[in-house]
Amino acid sequence: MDFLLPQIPVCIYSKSSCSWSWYGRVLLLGFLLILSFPNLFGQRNEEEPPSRTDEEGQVIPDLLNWPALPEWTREELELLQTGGLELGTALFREIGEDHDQPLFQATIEPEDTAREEEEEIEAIEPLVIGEEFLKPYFAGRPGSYLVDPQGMLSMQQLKDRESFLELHAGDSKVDLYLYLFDKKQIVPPEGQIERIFKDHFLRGNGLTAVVYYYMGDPGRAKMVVSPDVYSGVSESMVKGALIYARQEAQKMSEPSSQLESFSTGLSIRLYWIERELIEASGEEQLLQEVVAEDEITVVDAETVREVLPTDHTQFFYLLGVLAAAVLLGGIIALIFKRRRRRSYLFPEIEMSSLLGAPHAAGVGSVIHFGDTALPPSVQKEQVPDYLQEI
Amino acid sequence: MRDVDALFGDEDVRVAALSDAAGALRARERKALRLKMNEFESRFPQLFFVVYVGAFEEVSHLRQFGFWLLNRGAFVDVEVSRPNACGILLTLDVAGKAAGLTYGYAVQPFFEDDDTFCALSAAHPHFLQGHYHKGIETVLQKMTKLLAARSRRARKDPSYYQPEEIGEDNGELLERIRSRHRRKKQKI
Repeated sequence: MDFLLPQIPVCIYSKSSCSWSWYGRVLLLGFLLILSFPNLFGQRNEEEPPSRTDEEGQVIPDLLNWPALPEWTREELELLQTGGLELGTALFREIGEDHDQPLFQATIEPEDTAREEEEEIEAIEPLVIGEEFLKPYFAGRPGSYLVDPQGMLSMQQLKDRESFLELHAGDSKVDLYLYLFDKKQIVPPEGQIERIFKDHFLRGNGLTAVVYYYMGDPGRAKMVVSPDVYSGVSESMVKGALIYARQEAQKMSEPSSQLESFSTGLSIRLYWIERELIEASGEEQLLQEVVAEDEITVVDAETVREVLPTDHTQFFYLLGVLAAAVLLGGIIALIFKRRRRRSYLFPEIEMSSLLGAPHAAGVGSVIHFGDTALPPSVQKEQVPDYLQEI
Repeated sequence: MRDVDALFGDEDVRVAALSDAAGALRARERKALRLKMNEFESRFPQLFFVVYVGAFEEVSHLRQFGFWLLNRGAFVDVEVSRPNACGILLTLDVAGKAAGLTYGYAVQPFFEDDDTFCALSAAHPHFLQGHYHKGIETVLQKMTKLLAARSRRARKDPSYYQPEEIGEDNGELLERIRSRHRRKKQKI
């Protein structure tokens, strides 16, 4: 490497030996490499994506031509030292008079807007069932266990529910028919559940439960079961089944999931009802054809609210009980205290002395407690010894 | 009385109301028992309850000792106004594993045959386990309850506890009973 050595005086050059030290040579080689490849470290990789400045076509400004930085004047420096000048006031300035105004100003909607929205909702969720659907709903006994002529369920959901209801009908003696309506739809008088049941479900084909279910609102569900069911179970049990199904449905948020939970819950409870019926009347009688035309009972999923005492009533009730308990405890404590302080006296009875004993001749029982296996009655000697000598 | 005097001595002895000659009670237990005994005395102003815990080995000695102690004992921490005839003595034989009750003439009319046995039986489980302190407390408690009931009854009907006078007829009756008892014992 001697051919690369320039004639420059550096500290890494040894004057005594007139030769370069090994690390001096390494440094020199590195310097020459940098000179020969000036863009080795500064050059950008071509595969690297272009920067934002390049994309926007901006040119990096020439630093030499930039305006000079501002300088403090003498007055400003004096103000800064005395505290007269506050830095950053331009950034943290007050908003002014506008700062009292809310960020979001509520806009007053005209009344017409709300009315329009209602109309839109009605258009989406019609309250009245279309005439074209009345016949498929109410004309006769439905062909499947799920009645949905309005197509509120998707094909897959419809198949799932139908297969579930068929499965239920195969296992249970009480068939379950589900009529699906929209959330706010009103069933016309000719389609009332008790009428439909009387017309199409009352005669023949065993026991049946018909349910009007409103998609998205399980609380509106209504159910009619064959009158023979009430011979073995109470109406409250039937209503309880519907309420249980409603509660199961309300655990879900999606209308289709609600329907799934509702039908599952109701199926379980109908099975319970069936068991009760079999226990009450026997299986043979349950399978007999239903011919009776009894009064039809419609149950809904509305829970009966019990009249509960208000908070104030409960508070006063508890207060009364507490006061009575304290009073009773005080009386009992007083009685015990008086009994404890009470002294008992005995009448003086003259007794003739026995056996020459001046004070006492009453030798009572003596019991032994040496043997743990024997009771004290066996281990007693009731008769005093001295009596044997009399 | 002469027999027991010959056995234990014919002179009066000074003894505490709660004597633990056998050392079966702890100091704390003795203190608690003394409080209970004081309470008994306050509830029955005429009576007192004393306890003697000793080791006798023979049961006959325990019975005789109880009889002797209540007649010869001068209980130092009992008021003078309460004579020994108003005392109830519980004697415990720690070595012979026996317990007995003795009572004075003033209390005798108010006790029935099984009263003392019932009181001792209630304490039997504690005595079995060696919990003499608890056993003594139980006896004291039972006696308190019993005597309170008897006091109420005596107040309502004082004649109920009056002893029948023993006349000549009664003497003959007693003699017949005793002779029958002797014959029965000979058969056995």
